[in-house]
Amino acid sequence: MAKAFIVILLLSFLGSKESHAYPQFIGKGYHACLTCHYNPFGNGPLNDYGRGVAASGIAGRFMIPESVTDEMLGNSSSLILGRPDVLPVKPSLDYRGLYIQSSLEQDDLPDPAWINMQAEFSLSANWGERKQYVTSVSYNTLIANSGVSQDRNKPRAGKPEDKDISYLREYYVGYRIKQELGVYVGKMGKLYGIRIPDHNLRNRSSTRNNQYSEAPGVVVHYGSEKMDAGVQVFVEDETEDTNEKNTADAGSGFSSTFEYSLGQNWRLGVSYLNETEKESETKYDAKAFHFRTRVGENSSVMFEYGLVDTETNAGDLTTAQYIYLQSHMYLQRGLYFVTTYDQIVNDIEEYNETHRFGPGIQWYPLQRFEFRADIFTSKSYSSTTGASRDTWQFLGQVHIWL
Amino acid sequence: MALKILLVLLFSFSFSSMAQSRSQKRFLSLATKSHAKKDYARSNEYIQKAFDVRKTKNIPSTALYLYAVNLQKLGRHKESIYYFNRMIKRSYLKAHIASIKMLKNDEIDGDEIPKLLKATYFYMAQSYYAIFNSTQDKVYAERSRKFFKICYDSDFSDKCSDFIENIDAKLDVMEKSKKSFEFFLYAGRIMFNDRVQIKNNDTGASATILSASDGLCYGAGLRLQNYYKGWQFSGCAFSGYAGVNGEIDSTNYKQIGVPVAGLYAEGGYFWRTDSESTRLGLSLPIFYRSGLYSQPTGYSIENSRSTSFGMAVSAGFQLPVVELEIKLANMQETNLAMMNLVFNF
Repeated sequence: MAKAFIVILLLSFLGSKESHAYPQFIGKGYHACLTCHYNPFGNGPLNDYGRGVAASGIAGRFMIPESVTDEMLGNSSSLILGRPDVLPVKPSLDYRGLYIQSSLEQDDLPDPAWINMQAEFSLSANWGERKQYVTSVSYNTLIANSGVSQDRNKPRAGKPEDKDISYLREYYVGYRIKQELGVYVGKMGKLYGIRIPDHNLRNRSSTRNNQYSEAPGVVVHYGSEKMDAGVQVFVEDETEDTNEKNTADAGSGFSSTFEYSLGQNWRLGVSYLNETEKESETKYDAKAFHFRTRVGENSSVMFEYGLVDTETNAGDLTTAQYIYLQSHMYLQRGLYFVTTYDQIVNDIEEYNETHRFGPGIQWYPLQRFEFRADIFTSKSYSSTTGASRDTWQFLGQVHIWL
Repeated sequence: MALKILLVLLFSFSFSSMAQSRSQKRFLSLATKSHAKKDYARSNEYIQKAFDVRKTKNIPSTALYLYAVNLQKLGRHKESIYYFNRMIKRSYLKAHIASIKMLKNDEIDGDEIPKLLKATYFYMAQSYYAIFNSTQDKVYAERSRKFFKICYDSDFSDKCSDFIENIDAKLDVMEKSKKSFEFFLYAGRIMFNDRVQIKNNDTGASATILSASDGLCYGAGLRLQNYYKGWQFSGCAFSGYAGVNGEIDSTNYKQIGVPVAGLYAEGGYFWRTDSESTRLGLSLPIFYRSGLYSQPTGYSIENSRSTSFGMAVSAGFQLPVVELEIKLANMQETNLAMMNLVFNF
């Protein structure tokens, strides 16, 4: 019975082929997002197959006796520890917390901080004769970031004061007109670049794709074995006070992305985003070239180069450049050595560059658990300062999904 | 179990038709019984009493078979193979040649191979396997694989496929454990932050100022490695520009576009954690830097040339044609990052 379930799952996704939670899993042979997510561009709850494969092939087997097979793990990967395909509506819980210790280069260390990035409850469903209908709702409740030793009411940079935030992060209904073509209406992430979870990196933060950037709109997705393409038209989310979420004012516009698989191991893509902030009327125009590639048996390298034009309502135009390069080296099942390079040039007409390098470890000891530890060093070059001292930062992350 | 049944059948049918002396028959019967009791040494003693095992021409093939099986069970594999070969030559040469021919054509038909010959192949394969394990000589692995393949294709035993898998896995490990030298060239961007001392020539007071350099590095190296790990020694020469910033005597000293050049060399160990396409390394670098810093009137730069050493960590990923390498090093006052494209020969 268990084998039959696995076989049915595999067969049901044969047409759309491979994928998983993070784009790095091209290293495992997974190219497209739709195989493992309800959202065809990733992010948000995992579907049944995604849960099954995460448990049976991605996560490690820490403390799991040999008598427990991968099939058994796959069959107990739902929120209620049973087979994920049993319930008609799939609930899931996600939590992400981040420990930050900045300024490691200083003798007198500032207080570390604990940031609750995500505490989310989701309900998703996929139904119809061809499973052509899909819906998903994710409600995020972020308890105020009290910090490890930070006063609860102490203001944080860029935020007036800490307070709880609750909002609908993502909601949509979708219809697959045919297997390759789908239309989705609702609040979804923008279609731009490689959708990594590290929203602190510039390919996410400077392209209006941070953790709060989901926007209501319409998404059209075309996906085949070789390619994924999508276009999104979005508007500002009028229901929310975005300042509370420590983000720039949301805007309206459109985004698009295209990825094409070259052989088994390469995925090349281009992305374009055009957005105008409603209040400030600042216009953003971002374009990127990106690729992901599998290296060896399980490792990966991801690269994105982008330019972001920003035009204020006064007509001032600046062009920022970013480079994102991240590699995940497989050490053993569930364990990766991560190397991150993040280049930021806020204005390409000036000599003012910041380069961040981050060696780190990513560990999935078991299904439902992810730990991450990165040390970032930043190097700045500027014609105005001459030289700046390198800065160091430790980031520790806990991610639990149920 | 199948082999025991085979033995019993062979002995009960074939011995009766042999024109042998009564004593030979008695000793063979005792040898069979001892073999059944797994007393292989005693079994062979009875055979030696019945026959002169040095003259195999006079020994019936079934007795030779039993003698060879006993030797195999006793772990005397080379002798066992010798007697199996004598038995084949005496009684199964034609069938053996046909079997090898079928194997070469990948058309093994189990019905055309006599049962005793199939059993012989199975034992010989095991003996070759044991010799391969003790000597690591690939010739024995190939021979063992050949006979297990016949056994597998002729459906003689389910164990044969497991043995073949084991042999292939061990050969794979042997191949991957082979050490070889690899020469490489590389070029990349080097960025480092270090310190420069500025001194007031009159008062003797000195201050540390920051120097942030950015340049290109061209180098070469050598690896001694196998599939899993290895040693690496490399070095590169770099040149670029630095910006400096600091304060002395309440005056800000700032300069940009300072030409810098130097050498970076390292020796270290690396692991290929995923496959030969990835490399995670730890190394001990030594770093020499020279900069043409301007010296304000009345001041001098103390360490426009400096040497430092420390530790580096690197990650390498083989892409088509080139390898991408990211390296971070901390060497006393110098904090360095490199991104290289490596061409491996």
